[in-house]
Amino acid sequence: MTLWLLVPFLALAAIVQTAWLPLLSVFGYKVDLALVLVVLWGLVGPIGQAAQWGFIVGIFLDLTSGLPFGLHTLALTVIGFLVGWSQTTFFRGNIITPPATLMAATLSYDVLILAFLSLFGWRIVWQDYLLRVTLPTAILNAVVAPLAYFPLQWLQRRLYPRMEL
Amino acid sequence: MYSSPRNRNAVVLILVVLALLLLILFQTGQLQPLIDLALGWFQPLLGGAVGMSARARDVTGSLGDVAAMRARINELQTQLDELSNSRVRIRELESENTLLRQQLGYKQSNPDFDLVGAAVLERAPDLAHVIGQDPSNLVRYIIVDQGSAEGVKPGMPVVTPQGLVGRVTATGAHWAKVLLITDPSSSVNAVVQSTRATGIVQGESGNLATNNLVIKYVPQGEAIKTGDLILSSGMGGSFPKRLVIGQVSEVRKHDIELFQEATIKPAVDFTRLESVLILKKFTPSDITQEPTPTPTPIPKPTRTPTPAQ
Repeated sequence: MTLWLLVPFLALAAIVQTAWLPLLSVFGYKVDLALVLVVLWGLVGPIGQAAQWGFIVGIFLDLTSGLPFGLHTLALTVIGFLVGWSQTTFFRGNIITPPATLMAATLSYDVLILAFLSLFGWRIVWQDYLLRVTLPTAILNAVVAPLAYFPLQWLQRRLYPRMEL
Repeated sequence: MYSSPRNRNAVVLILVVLALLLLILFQTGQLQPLIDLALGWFQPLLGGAVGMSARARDVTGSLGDVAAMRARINELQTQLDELSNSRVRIRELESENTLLRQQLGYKQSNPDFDLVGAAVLERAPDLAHVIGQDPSNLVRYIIVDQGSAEGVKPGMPVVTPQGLVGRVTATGAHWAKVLLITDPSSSVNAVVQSTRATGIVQGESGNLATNNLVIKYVPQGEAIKTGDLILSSGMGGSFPKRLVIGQVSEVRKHDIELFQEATIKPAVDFTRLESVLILKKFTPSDITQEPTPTPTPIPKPTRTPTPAQ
């Protein structure tokens, strides 16, 4: 996908996550759409592109976040890279792979952000955050994974018809 | 996409270094003009999206007489809020009256003291629309459409007619980021209205489902019970006095601990925040800074004209 299409697409994803998804929250938890897109594109898209997606969507998220600027960008780029790397290492055609990868990615993403916040002097109660925020968010992200996985798979087939999944 | 794995890894490395650079530049404050510029461009899109979602919610609610009922409910809710606020004000005035009577008695019994009364700072609220919530579940911020161009500064308290919302932490030309009182990193000095017991209100870490707050560091001897109203105490200088925070829903007391704590149901419905008020004329004071004495200019001796002899 060219940058001219990718940037507006990811800007739209960030807007949806910031403006609309809070209205659709489940017990106060909202889907981390940007993370879902980056992780799933890491699974279905060309190797290395997910990190690029993570960088671009991360900047949009940082604009609207109260967290230090660059934290979402850094975390999503790293997660995008790790997922892209894992697709070359592990089998990715399994139906369990998208939700399982999203669970692991959500955990890694939150741990990375919390670690940096801790480094910046924020008081972090790890147990509370991991059990009461990260775990439910990871489950929610995993549940919605199929809803985004198949459209992204379709997009991948349209954009890269010669690429094997 | 990339010609070789080496190129691919190089690109990822560059992106990671760029992200780290952004983080460092932000920490040193050099990124602010760029963020302001980017958010200035992004803000109308966000505002439009929030407006669309509000309209979509209205459309779905207009089946049958639902819209009319909603309007009536809103009207009644406004009246209820006004009555609740009046009740709070009356009780506060009663307390103040008692206190002033005591002070008057004190002044009359101590005629040698030079006592000066102090007034609460003037408040001039400005309406701001919420244009987004923090994208992460880890923290609780909102972004509003009023910024430094409208006179908004970091530290200013943010309220609704129902009660305290939070405080401004960052501003751009036409936007401000507000840390909600439900975030665990937020602290508000508070007082129990009925007993005047003091404590610190913080967000309950990790509890996104209820948005509840916790009042901590209330001494064991102080009375606090379910239903008590919690107000800001004004101590510390971050928030004005008497802003409604919420109502006690559960008290936790253990004999082996120095302090008791209680869960508070916030007065503000944080899930439905659409517009807020920013108290612009309230200047937060930093109590960690010692006041610097202003040097008084030494008057120059003026030469007195000598009378002509």
